[in-house]
Amino acid sequence: MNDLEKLGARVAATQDRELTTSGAALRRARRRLLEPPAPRGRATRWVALAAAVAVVSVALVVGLRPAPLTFQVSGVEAAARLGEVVEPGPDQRASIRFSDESTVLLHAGARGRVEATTAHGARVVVESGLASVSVARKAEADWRFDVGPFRVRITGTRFDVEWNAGERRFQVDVQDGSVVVSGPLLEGERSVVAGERLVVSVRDGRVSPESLASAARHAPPPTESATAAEPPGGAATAKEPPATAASARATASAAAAPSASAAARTWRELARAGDYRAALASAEADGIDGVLASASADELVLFGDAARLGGRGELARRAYLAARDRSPGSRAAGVAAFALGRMGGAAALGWFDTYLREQPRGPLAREALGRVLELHHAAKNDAAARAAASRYLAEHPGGPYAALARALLGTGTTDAAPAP
Amino acid sequence: MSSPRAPRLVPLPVPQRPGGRVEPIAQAMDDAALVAAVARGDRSAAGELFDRYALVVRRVLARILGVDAELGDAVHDVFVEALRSAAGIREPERLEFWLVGIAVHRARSIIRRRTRARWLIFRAPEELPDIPSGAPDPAVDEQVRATYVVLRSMPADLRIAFALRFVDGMKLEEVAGACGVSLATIKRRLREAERVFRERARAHPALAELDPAGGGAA
Repeated sequence: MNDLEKLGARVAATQDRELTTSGAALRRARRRLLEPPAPRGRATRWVALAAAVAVVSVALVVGLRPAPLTFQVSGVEAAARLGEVVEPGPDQRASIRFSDESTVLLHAGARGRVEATTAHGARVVVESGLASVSVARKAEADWRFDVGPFRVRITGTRFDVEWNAGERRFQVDVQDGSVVVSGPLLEGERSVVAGERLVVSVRDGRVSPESLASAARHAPPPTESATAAEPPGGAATAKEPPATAASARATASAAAAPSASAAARTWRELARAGDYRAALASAEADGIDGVLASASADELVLFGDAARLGGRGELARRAYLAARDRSPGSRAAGVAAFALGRMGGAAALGWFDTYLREQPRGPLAREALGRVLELHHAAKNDAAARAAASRYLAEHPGGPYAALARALLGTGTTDAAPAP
Repeated sequence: MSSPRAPRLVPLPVPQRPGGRVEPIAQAMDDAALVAAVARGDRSAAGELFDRYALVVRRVLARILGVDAELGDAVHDVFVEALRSAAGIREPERLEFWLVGIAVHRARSIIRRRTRARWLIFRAPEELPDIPSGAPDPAVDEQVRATYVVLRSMPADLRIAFALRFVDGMKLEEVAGACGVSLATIKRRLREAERVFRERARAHPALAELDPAGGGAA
């Protein structure tokens, strides 16, 4: 295989992985293809025409087209109505959850509203403040975010976006996928991909693209992006539930200068609320060793998640290991094993195997087995990869790694779907 | 010249129809009988045709166009054309290759339409919106994106030949058949496509691993 063939194979494998999740478009195409043909003959043609007009009219009136997405608002008192302003208070966060599982999390002090919805997306206005967005990855997804004077277009991704009206400063951190931004100081449209941050200071006339990794290395702790500190394959993946992927940026500020209410809350409350850095600060005030010694296994997993998402990888590892020691064989111990695997490194494969051994029917089994398959494949352990592929297809034939598994088994070599 | 990946035609999975019900493919009807039934206007045969080959058609379109929001419509259009012209198919036993040819033709039309639209709105290919690739690794994601940025900048015929050969892994004869040209023509086209791709890839850090000179893979 030469270099172009290797590149092409990586592209193909990536496409195949994505195409496994976009069956809706094919089902629609099939339905449209098999719609009954129009009747023939002059009289019947007129009847058909009249019927078509009637159907279209009715469709327009009662909305027979694909139903637009619906949404719910939680965390604040606000009606789930188009145009209704959602404005969490200083200690609140408001979650807007759409019927396709996409979410928009408005952080404390932010102000936004859902302006319109379609069958494939919505137009969301973030008037000010920070929003963490997770859009379900679908080929036909069509979402638009108006953030202050900027416009962000996406099709399936996870990102944090902020408009600071006082400083006239726009920032977007893309954790997954890519977005297209347009607005002041940007000539045309600007694409921002996973791992990148784009900052536009309208007041200073400055546009600053940078990688999230370098932002995490160079920025002072309060503005560090927690997700950037994740190892490859860590929390900053599409698999992360939106709520747990919330920006650490806003919460980092809270940690640097904790409000009175934040200071009064326990690390557990802060971690559950997604204020990871504040949770870590609170735990440090209590004494980390004491927390690790006294917390329950479930709490230790929670603390590990807060440390992981707060950019404290080693502390997260200690917490997960403590959770496993605290309650061996429990559900929490299994989750801790999975989390340890997700943190990457040489031990990742062993931890995913551990999860599968301890929780073969657990809620994370499909993902764990997929990761095992992927890791064996990446390491060119062909026999082990094929064994994992067989098991994956037997247990999860419609799972997200099924295409990769089939490619491995179908060719008998790893060439059809090489490791990224 | 070896094929990049073989065998190319992966076995089709049992189609999963809306609602999650799994229905076995009707083994009794071979492709020739299926084409005859489709040509007679048999709607269930049309559904069978779609179920057998929709994934192949979508895969070919995705290789050429990238995974984008128009794929579903493009697949639909390919099958509309297939139903319309099924009566004229000369080698029904080569149904899959015939459908791939229609898909390539459709992809070329879409590329040309988009190229015209780009001229109209004066946007460089690099500025066109990107669809996230779904790669778990951001570096691969960026490679996928950069690959299609380069491909979008290439003439349609070169782009199609490159995508079918290097991304889909078709054999030279298959690429020639899908494009409706001779083997000699496709070899020339692929040499030119490879040269252009390597040259333009140099502008993209994500594609820095490529040898600018290349080894004549085509």
